[in-house]
Amino acid sequence: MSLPKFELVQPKTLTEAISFLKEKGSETQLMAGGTDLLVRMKQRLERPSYLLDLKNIPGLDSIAENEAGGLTIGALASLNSVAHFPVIRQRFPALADATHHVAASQLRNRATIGGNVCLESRCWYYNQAYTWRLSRPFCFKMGGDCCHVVKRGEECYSLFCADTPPVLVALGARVKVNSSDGEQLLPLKEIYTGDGKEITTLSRAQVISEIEIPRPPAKSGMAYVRFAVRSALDFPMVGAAAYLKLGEDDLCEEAKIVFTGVVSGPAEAGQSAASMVGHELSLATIADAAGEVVKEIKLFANIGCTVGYRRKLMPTVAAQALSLAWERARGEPTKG
Amino acid sequence: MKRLLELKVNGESYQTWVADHKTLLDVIRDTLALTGTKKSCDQGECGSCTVILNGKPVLSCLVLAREAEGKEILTIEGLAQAGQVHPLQKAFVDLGAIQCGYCTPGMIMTAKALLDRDPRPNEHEIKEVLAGNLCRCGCYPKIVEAIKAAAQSGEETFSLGKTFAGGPL
Repeated sequence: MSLPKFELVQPKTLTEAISFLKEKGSETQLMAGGTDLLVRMKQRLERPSYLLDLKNIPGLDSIAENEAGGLTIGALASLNSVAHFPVIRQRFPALADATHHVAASQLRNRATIGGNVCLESRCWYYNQAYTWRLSRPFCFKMGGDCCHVVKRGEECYSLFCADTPPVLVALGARVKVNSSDGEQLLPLKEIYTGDGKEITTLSRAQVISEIEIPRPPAKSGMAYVRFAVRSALDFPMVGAAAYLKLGEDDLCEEAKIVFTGVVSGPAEAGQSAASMVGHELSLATIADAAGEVVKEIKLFANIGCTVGYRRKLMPTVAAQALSLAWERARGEPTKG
Repeated sequence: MKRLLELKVNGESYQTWVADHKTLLDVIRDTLALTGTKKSCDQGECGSCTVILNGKPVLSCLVLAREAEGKEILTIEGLAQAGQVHPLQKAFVDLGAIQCGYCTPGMIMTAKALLDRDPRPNEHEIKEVLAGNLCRCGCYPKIVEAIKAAAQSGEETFSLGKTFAGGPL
């Protein structure tokens, strides 16, 4: 498969990149690792006139603990560099797990966390070569006017499949968004639209440069568990990020459950998580809370499994993530 | 529009006119005629295009040729030194870890990057790192065995005579 023709732009500073985007953003795609973008271009899902390569801008790939004890991760940090960073493995294990299980080791040397955060949604009918797609009318995501997943559907039902966003949302991460209007720090949760056609609220003239994760407080634990047919290369069929904080009395003080792979954006099961707050935790209470998640999230069938199967997977994966987070909150030695 | 590009592959410098939209895999195979690196899925899902870029294994079908400028590229052709095959290549041949041979260069490059980083990986670590390399013939058990054997052999190099005459098959 060949790539369509384009001009490669390789700015040396973020300012250069942003001023290029201000002028030509509408005909430009940003390239970090390029491991999803180039495939979509080979399938003719994207045909930008320009590709703006962010990799020559120094400093965008650094990972460091900040003074508040949280993390500042450059958007261009490779998934492998995040997965292997010692502070992340010890104090942010859910992020290490989420990055470590993406695709394969070779791909993780190029793919970036910024790219994963902005990863395009996926669909059986969308992620196909051009000639395959010609056999059907173009769907909403391709710029057409129908959906093949939900017949007579009026919006796009593609699936959000990225592994890191549920963890980052559960941890309350923020992203630094740069444009010609300056820079702003936004809660990551707020950039997701939940709409399969346009995954984020970001415009073509904006660049995410950094991801900030606050310091996890004492007696808190986090986990990410994903289920896929193959243990590598596949996107998650269901991925669940869990965050728990215990109070002084060991009762649950805070809880978060966020899914990927189920709808068109990261899906937070707020009520199920809230049902644990103020209670003593046990495998039984965790299983009960996990069992409620399917009531809050309206599912549709796409990529690899039926609604019924996903309904069974979600509580199972959520319960596994919650019990691992609970173990870590109690300071137990981590397993798995 | 083609622009001049300089690539350092296997220690040699090549200069060629390349359009921006050509991948590293295309240039290695079609322009430099180094066809050891294979194009199989061409979309980052099989690992047969694996090369080592600045010491890290990457999928060359998803790297633009221009992005590789100024970096050290190692392909399967660059493993043999002074007429001696690399212990990994010898182990693959000796242990029958090759059937059709299409996944083999990718497997060996991924394994080489692993052994350069961790000379004594255990079976689980080998399998985890190789998860991105698919083999349709099903050589996986022999491939893992060959990598373990190459790791155990350490820095020892072998004479070609010993490899092809009377080695275990």
